[in-house]
Amino acid sequence: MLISLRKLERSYPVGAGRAWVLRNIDLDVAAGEFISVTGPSGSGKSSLLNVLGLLDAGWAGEYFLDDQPVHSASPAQRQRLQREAIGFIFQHYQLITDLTVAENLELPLSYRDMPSVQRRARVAEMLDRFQIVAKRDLFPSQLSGGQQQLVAVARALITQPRVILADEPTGALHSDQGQLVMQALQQLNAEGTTIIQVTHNDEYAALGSRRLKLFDGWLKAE
Amino acid sequence: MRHFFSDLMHAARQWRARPGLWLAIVVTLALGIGANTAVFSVINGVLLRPLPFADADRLVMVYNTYPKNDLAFAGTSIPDYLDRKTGAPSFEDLAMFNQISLNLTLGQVPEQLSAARVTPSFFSVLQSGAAFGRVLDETDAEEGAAPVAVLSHGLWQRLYGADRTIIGRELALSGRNYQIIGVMPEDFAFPDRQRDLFIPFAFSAEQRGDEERGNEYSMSIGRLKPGASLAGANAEMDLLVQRLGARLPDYQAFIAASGFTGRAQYLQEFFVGDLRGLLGLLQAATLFVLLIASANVANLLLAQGLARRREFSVRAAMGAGRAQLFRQVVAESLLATVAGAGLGLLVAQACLGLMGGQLLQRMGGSLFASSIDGSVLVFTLVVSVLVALLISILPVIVVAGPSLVEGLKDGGHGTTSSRLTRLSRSALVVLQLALSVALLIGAGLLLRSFDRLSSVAPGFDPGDLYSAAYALNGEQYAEASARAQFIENALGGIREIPGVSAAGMISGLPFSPMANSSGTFGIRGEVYDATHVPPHAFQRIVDEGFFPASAVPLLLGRNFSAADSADANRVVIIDKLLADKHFAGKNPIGQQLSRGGNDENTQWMTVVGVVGTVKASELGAEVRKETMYVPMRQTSVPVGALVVRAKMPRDVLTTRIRAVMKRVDPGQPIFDIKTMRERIDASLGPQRAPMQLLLVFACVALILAAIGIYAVLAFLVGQRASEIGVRMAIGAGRSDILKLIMGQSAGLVGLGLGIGVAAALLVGRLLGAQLYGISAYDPLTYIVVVVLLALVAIVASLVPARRASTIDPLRALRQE
Repeated sequence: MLISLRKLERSYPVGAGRAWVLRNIDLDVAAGEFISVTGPSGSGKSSLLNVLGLLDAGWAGEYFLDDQPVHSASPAQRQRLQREAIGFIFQHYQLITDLTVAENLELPLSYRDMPSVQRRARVAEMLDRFQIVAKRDLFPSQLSGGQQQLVAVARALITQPRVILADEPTGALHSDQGQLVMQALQQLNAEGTTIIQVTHNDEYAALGSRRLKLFDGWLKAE
Repeated sequence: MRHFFSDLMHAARQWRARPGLWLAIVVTLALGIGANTAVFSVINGVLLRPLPFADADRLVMVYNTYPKNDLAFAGTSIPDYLDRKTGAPSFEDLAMFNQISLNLTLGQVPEQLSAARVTPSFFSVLQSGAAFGRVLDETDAEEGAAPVAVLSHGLWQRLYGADRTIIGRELALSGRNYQIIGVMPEDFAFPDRQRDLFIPFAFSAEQRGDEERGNEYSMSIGRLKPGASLAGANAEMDLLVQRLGARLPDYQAFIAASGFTGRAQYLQEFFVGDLRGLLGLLQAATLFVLLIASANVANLLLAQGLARRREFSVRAAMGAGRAQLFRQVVAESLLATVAGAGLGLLVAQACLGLMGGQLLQRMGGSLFASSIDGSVLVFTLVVSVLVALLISILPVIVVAGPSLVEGLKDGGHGTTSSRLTRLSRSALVVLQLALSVALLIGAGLLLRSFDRLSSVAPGFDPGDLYSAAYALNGEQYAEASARAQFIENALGGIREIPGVSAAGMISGLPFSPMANSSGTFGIRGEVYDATHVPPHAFQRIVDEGFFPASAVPLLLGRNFSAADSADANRVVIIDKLLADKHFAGKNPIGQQLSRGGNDENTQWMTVVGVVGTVKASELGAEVRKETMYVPMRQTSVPVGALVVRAKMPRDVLTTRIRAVMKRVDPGQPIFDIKTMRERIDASLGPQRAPMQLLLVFACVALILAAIGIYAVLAFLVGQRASEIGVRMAIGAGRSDILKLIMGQSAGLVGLGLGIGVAAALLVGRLLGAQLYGISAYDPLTYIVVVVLLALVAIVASLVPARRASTIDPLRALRQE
């Protein structure tokens, strides 16, 4: 299994008690799957993604990523795992506004001690693959929403992660642009990348190979 | 490094997008870093940079000391110098020097040159040679040798236009022809840069004898052998004094009673003296300013941090660790701090102009220089890097701290970090206020102390009192009568100048380099032995015009008159201190004193008057040494000063006095023309400079603290806008909101002032030694500072508080 969660729980202190956002989650994700996570607002979808993406460390339970026990890993080991295995796509693109397209693509590589020659080659490859070579020196504000999200997808992919976590990747896009991004994700999945997306859109959720539903922090498989 | 360079590039782009913020940070840091650089330049020049001599750490000043007579430093006599030169093996070499004035008449106005009379070993001790020509050798200092002179670089340029063919030429000074044998290098400045030339110090047979002991008008400098210690040299000088006592039984009693011996002190320590503490104090004050500035900048960066939370979160999601985020923030801070340091160098130059000269003049003039050299630049760079790290820590902890996930939510306003930001910013303001209070109280104490000090009465009226020095070195003034005639003629002419109300003469003018002229004296009827040594007093020669001109009050008896001539009975006037010390309960008039000891050759002088006590050189110091005045017609020395009371501009008076002097003797210069107020002010320079600097630093701190309070309250108001909207929607009036915000400010200000007062109590204890006439816990200073800062804080709080009270509740709620 690429990902295994056992009895994973996440809660926050509220007054004298706690508010639970994820409860008793058991989940196995095999390599190459395309999973869609759905559920109402506040059901814990983004929280689950943050835990899977190792952005959040305040959970309890067991989490194995590529057979590595994340729950007993040190912060440094978790960061190494994150850098090796995970790519992120956010609803609001989350490009760095004062970096150009090329610099945004290069950013994840710069945190992985890759020589600059290799970094530039990888950026060029991504620009070419997503057909945004002409946009390389533009800033995010000079791109449409769809183009920005394509750059975000390219940025998530540039480190060649085992799994891409996409938090409502089409949420801020109109339908044409949403289609474009979903096609890109399908293409990536067809090439072997595991994808876990959070979405409210049934049509896009149906594009996945499996669908998970969260309700008040409880996971219900469909 | 590769990544850091890329971080720097990105940081430059960040700042380009926010030029206003960048400029505010750079200017704030320039004030803090510049102040630190200025003080460090002085510390570097005085304490860290080696003196400009080879192996300067082996150079020592050697002097006589009489601890039981309360005379720690007393120069050196010729026989003491000779004893040590031959009998103290710790010294590799020893030299002796003093200062004399020589008259030069080349143009219309005769000029006074300042010469250092030095033993030939002076140059070998300092290991300094001539730029060209040669320095003095032993044959030049033999009795009867032809007069020779080594010129300073400055005099060579001024008199001869840097003509290198002058070696062998003659220079007429005070009626003697000196052959020029060499010129010193430009950077040679010992004992200071005021010496125009160096002439040989030749000892006569009498001067080498024991009778000369006690004539300590010269200084001595030595070079320790490699490996030799001060303690070793001091022990050898103690032994020499013991042998002297054994050889001269009469002297033995005096040695025992006075504690006389020789002491050596490293050259640097000798000149720096108690300034070390003062410099430490100033460096601490500038560190306070830098911390306040850094707190302000950290506050600004925190405000920016919230806006950048999303960016940090994305970077973390892309794989950036905390170290990498910190590196990014440090790169941004560094671009601001290094620019701040660059601008700070200009601030430092301005500060140095304000304090450098005044501080350094007290320490051997040009031996020390406070310039911005390589070490200072390295210091400034290190400070700017440390400040960059310091101001980056809090924003990284708060912004990228507890949960980066919050930053990925819409707007990136997590509640945890907002709370942390609010707390951090409030803590920074409290810190700023506390530091400002401590700094302002320190500056206030020094200001009040200086005010007390400068209002101390010197014992004479310095207003409208001019003074001018003279040195009668020519052959025509070899006789005392000729000198007396010159002074009488000069004063007669000066008194006729319209506007001059009085004039007189004095040797050893107070608050001048001559002021410390002193010696032992005897009282008729007293017997001096090992347990009862002759007392010591300032000994001044005055004419009858001095006391009226300088307004020194005559308390008892009479003033001198023309009748106190060389042929008349010897008379003396004493000051109140001498009368109180030695004639308590008796009438001092009619008592008899002598200069020197009591023996069969003593010339007794009858006390005819008692005058008020006059401060000699330090306004703040209690006068502990008594003064005796003898009349000019009965005793004469070639060096003295004229004092003139006149109400007219200095230029007019100077021109008229010079015209008089030209009539009296066209070849005789007068020099060092200053009012007595200027002389007193100059003596206060070492106290004034740090006080002025501290005041400047304190004002900067006050402004920065006010900006800090304003910024934090504005931020808090912004954060509470919706809450304020709700409060107003449910009935709160504008005055309620005003009270709410002002109350929040009062809490911060009260805490800051409280901590600051506690810190000031500690600072006051350190300041104690620098204060005159007031307590380190002076309540008035504390109250004024606290009230002042509270007022500033209220004004700084009013703007955001008023803004809060005018919030439109509907708009605020819509934003929510």
